[in-house]
Amino acid sequence: MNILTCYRPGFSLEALKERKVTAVIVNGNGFSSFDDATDIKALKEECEKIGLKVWVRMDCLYEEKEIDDVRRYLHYLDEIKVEGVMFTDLAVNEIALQDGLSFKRTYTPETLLTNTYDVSLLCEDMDYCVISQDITLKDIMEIIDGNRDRCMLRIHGPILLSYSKRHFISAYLKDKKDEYRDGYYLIEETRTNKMPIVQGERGTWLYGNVLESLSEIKMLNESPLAALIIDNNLYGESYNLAVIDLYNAVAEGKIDHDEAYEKLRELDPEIGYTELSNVQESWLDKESA
Amino acid sequence: MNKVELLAPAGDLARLKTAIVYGADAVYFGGKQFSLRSRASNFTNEDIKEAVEFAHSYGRKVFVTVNMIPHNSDFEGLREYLQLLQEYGVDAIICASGAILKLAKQYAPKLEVHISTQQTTTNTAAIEYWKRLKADRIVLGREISLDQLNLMIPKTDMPLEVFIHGGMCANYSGRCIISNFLTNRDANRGGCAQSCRWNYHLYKDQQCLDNGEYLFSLGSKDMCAIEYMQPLLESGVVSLKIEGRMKTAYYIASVVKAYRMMIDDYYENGKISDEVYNKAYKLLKQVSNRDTYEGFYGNEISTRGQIYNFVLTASQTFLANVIKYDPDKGTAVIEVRNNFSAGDRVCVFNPKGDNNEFDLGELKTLEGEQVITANRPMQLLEIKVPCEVSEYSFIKGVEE
Repeated sequence: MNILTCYRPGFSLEALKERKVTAVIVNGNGFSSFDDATDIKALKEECEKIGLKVWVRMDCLYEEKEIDDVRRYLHYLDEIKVEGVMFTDLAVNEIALQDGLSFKRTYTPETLLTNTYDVSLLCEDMDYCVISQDITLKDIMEIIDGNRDRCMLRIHGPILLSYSKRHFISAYLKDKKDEYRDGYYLIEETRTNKMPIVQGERGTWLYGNVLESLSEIKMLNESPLAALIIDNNLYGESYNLAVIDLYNAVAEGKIDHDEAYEKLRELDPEIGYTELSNVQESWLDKESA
Repeated sequence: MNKVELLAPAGDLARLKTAIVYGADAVYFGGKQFSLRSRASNFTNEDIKEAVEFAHSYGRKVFVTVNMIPHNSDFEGLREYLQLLQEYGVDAIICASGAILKLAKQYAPKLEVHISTQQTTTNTAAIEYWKRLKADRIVLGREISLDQLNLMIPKTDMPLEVFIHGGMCANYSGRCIISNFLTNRDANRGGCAQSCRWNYHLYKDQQCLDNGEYLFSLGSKDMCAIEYMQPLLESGVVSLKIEGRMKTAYYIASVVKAYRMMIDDYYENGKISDEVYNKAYKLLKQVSNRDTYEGFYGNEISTRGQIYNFVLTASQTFLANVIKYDPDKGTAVIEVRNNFSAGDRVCVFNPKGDNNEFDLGELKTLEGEQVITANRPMQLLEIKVPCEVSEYSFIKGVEE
């Protein structure tokens, strides 16, 4: 399996390598939803030693006044030879094309890549696209088939429900603080699902259940996907490693997906899950399916 | 000098005609398929044909929204639909998908293609992508500030359109699936349940952070950019857009007239006078059913834009639609919308000119029965009017 997974400061690169992860996704300092102040150059060198690649997450939309800074940052990433950039703003792709930057480019707008034809068109200009999470498994497989080795799929991690420029938590708490990161969540007044919410200087990101694909991993692993993404940016290292173990175990036939799902639930019973194949006409969680 | 375009929404043919008669330079609406705002009435193919004929007879333009974020199955019939729009003489489509843009350029090349705000374009580097695909106009994200807009315009020759009035998405448009997640209704395919306006409890770990007065919400106040009209008119944008395909004809008439007055005043006198501003402000205030703010045009990421404990309020100034006018008798048949009584002070709201105030005389049913208080919505009544009215006129209450 070609697995890309998130990296945050303190995560063990060796532990990821042992689990056959091929690349880490690190938050682009100042240009992503999380600003971990990771020294990406040093991380790149560490990764290189053990054969891991580095992708940089730039999951923001940028204002005109920031474009020069974005350009400088992309040139820096090119100089230190990261494997690629995962971006939300098409500006990143255009700057890389205009300036002849050599890293790989993956577009991940989260909600906009819902059909074969848009992905094909975008892949004329970039290396990969991450397919949206709000479409059916049937649609996902059609998109993958129509764009062989050009699609990535987020197979595990909290579903990004929305991205806003607004500072929702500050507004509600009447507080001037920009950042509310770890441990914040919403519960809709008539429901029980926890919806993690992250506010940074660049806005607010709201998440839903964690999407899980344990039942589908064998099929996805055999499909012409360019990479599978396990992205537990909101959760800790031990959860992330345990999740990767479960996917490896199911893919290798060591345990079946039902058993893996039971183990997944035991990792953190507070987390709500949505199964990839349940994203059809409805978005049911596993318990109510 | 090229005049900026005033672009208005229309939920159906009647509202389209109202928007045009009240001064919109162009009108946008959705067909029965491929569009967002599925709860708006939307236009049949025959409606679209009539809309184009009507708009073009006034020298105005028609844009059709094909702005869903399509799934594979949504492409069925799309090519034929685009060809039909071209055949009818539609001026442009508004779309949010490169694949749809490409289809339009290939099979309906006379249609201009405008990139929807669903793509949330916020800088000139991103505009370059759409330019390479031969897009004809970009509808910018509503998150653009005036300063950012003024930085962008000198750096691109792409015509830019911005919103000036109406409902605001809490999130970057197109980048939100809260409705899908909570209600199974896909906002990017026209099913938005406005879950952002619901109430939520906010927690940090196990601690509830509810403030005791009202629950957390993502809901936004509506945009009203009246304070920014002069700089927007000076900025070089090609089109100023009003949101609200779900709104009533009276709302459309009032908002279009308000902005029309300001735009015309600017081009006639080089600035918007206080008198025109005040008249426009009053018109806009009368039809607001949510609090408004300037959107993101100011430089700060304002926390004033949020709205909590939201209850929609209906305008009480709108009393009746005019259905028919008899110039010989000086009477009009009106359709009741809000309560009023014989003897009330009311006014006629016409596309041009000031409101014409008068005291209502007798109210009569079409069968000639006298009515003291009109309190049956949709009832048709005959009244005497002091001036010429038309099917595009409204009867309003007079505010103290």
